[in-house]
Amino acid sequence: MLNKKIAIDTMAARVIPCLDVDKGRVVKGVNFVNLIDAGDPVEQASIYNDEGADELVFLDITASSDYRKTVLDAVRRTAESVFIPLTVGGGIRSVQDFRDTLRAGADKVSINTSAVERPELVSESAKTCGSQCVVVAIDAKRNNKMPSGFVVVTHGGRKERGIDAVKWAREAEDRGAGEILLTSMDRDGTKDGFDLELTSAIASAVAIPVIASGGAGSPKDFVDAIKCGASAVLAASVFHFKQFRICEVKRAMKRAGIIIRES
Amino acid sequence: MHIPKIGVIDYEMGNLHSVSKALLNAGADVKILTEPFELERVDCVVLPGVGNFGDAMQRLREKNFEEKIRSWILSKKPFLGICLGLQVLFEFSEESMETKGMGIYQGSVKRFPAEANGKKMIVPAMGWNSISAKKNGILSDLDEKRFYFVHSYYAEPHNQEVIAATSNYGIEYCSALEDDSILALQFHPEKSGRDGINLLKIFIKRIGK
Repeated sequence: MLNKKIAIDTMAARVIPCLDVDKGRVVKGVNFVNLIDAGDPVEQASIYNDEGADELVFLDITASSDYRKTVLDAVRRTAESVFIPLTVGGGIRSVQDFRDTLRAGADKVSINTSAVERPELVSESAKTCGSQCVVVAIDAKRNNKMPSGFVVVTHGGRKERGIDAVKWAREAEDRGAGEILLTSMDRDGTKDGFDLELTSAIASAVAIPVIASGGAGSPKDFVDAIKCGASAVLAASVFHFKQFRICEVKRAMKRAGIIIRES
Repeated sequence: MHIPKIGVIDYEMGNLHSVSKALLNAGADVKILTEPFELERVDCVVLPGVGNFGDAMQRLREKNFEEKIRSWILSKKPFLGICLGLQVLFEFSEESMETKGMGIYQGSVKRFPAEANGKKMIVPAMGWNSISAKKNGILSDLDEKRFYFVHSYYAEPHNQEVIAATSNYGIEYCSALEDDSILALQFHPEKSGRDGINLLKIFIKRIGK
């Protein structure tokens, strides 16, 4: 049945809504201030699933680690009823955190600051849990002093780490990351569109999937990010505040000749 | 139709929870199997698994599951392999050449090429890809549907008769295997939304007959 012809591309570009979770509840806010309780993560996950989300990301923004169990409980309940891939990030510091999060039902775990501070965490978690579940989240900002023009930042963009973003992406790949979640901190919250130069710089430097994030303001922005080499696009507020829906993003992508999953 | 008792093998390689919940949702009676002798208590065995081929084989051997699974499959009892649960049925994998697979099916597991059709390949292949299903096979009603894949390696069976579906990712490869009541999938039905649950329902219905 295999006929060894040249295979045409059939893999769909992914549209991923991100849910900010604080103490086990979904919150909506702009730049993490004026947070409004927006309900139960399981309900919200189920709504996004019905709307055609290809994956879900839970970002635990709870400052205190006392609530770790609450988040894992939300992950568990979501994984029991929503049968699409779920990535969980925020506060993951050790291989044990990885294990606990995966055991609760997450398919992938994203690490950010803890990976910048201790890159071995990428290799250790990839070795123990498999590369397919290790997502390295990179927050980057424009900086002319860096060879690529982009610097790695942490702490919501406040702390520049003096590391070139492209170099860090390559290191994460070498250490076994299965995917990169790339956020432009210059664009995050602006709705001016994804930073396409950043997306293209990282996507062309690595051979693992790159999720573009930060700055989505219209369905066309998602199209542009995919055209720049991203395998997936992520947004939080535009979907939360129903500025437009996932299906509208997919419609725009389809019109632009991008393969999508119709649901 | 009776509700089949499905045993999911727990060998500490991945997302048991999601697989069990999806099977439950699709109407099965699910039991987690932590010991080889427990296979005797179920109608069907599910071998899930994500991670490294070598680690998976090592765990299956340490926990004495290998021989039980082999005789289960060779006697053509209902079996479902998912992701690594498909790959370990073959002789060996480029992912860890030093560890042999179960070798129930002839053939090997290969890594996606770094480049195909003059384009850089993104590996792992991650996301929703479509399948092209064999006519009159168990997946024929799901032809052209999309399922969730995440893998860097793919199986290449010697016997092309067992290929139940193919998918394209730079190359055309075997994304599902069917041999009598044995079904093995490279993709994750438990993560593939409604179509994934439908696939599990079709499988459960068949073994419940």
